[in-house]
Amino acid sequence: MSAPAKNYHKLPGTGHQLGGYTRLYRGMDHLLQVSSVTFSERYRRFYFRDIQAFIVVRTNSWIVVITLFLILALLLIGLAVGVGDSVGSIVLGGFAALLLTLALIVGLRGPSCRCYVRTAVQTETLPSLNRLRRVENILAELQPIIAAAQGPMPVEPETPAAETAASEPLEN
Amino acid sequence: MPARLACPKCSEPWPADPMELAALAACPGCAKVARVLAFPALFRETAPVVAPLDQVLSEGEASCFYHPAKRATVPCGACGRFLCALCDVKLGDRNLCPGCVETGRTKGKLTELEPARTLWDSAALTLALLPLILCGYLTVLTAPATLVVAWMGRKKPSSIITRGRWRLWTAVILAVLQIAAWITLAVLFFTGAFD
Repeated sequence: MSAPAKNYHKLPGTGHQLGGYTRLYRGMDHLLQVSSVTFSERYRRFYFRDIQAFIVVRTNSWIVVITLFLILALLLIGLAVGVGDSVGSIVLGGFAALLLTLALIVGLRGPSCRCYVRTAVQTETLPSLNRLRRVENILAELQPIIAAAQGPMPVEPETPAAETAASEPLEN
Repeated sequence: MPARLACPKCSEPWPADPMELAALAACPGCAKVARVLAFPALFRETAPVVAPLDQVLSEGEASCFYHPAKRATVPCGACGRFLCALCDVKLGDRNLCPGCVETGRTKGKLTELEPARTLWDSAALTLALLPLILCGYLTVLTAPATLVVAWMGRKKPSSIITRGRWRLWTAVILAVLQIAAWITLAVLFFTGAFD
């Protein structure tokens, strides 16, 4: 009884947590969520045939983080201007520049979100899918694969109006 | 009755109709911007859990190994025993019997059932590298410990996600170099080279 060769394709995104991280992989017939903490990995499998829905909820954490970085950067700039020492000004200015760069990076990554996968018996958070733009791309990649695994809709398929609404990105 | 989605934030039930669900832009309860990508599994009727009549064995038919009164529908992909629909465990494209599933799970041969793995190679590499950064003197203890960890993990499977064995080999090489350095220092010390 030998295990079949499994090929996993890593999906973009990493969810960070205390002492570890979470990543999502696409397998032959399932999604594999790998939660790594120190020297062990825990696996959650979501089979394509069982996935009922993905729920994406937009969050405001990216705005909070950017605002926090900007406030801290402004405080440091104020201190850098106020302090008489030139070395101190350079050091404080350097930290302020670092915070501004981080704020820019967070801003460029786009709006944040929380993604859930729903099956018949559970609704699980996917921590690695935490950016709206990334989630849109990944779901566009997964949708045909899961739809192919599950066959046609048992009820009337989506109307053009509904399809338009479904494809409309959350950023608008 | 098909399943119905609810908001993960406020638990407000969302429309059951596929078209309304696809058109959903925000939760009606908490007004959080949300999008749902629903699949056919959501709208399927849940089948009642009752044994269909065609599973009952008729005269001359093959029966399940575990339930002799039930009709066999598929052989086990590992041991070949005949299985009824109840005993058939589908794993990927394979049909296995409960006995083979249990054997595969305990022996770690069914990767589909593994809930966790220990990364011995990462542990060994950390043990070899961390003292070099924190306190070099610790390597007198951690270098042999690295070799022990690497030995323990040499035949254990690493991550389910394919990754090479370079961590384990790097840890072993580092540990051997550290031990060699300590032996050299000891020889130099006892031969009086530091006097």
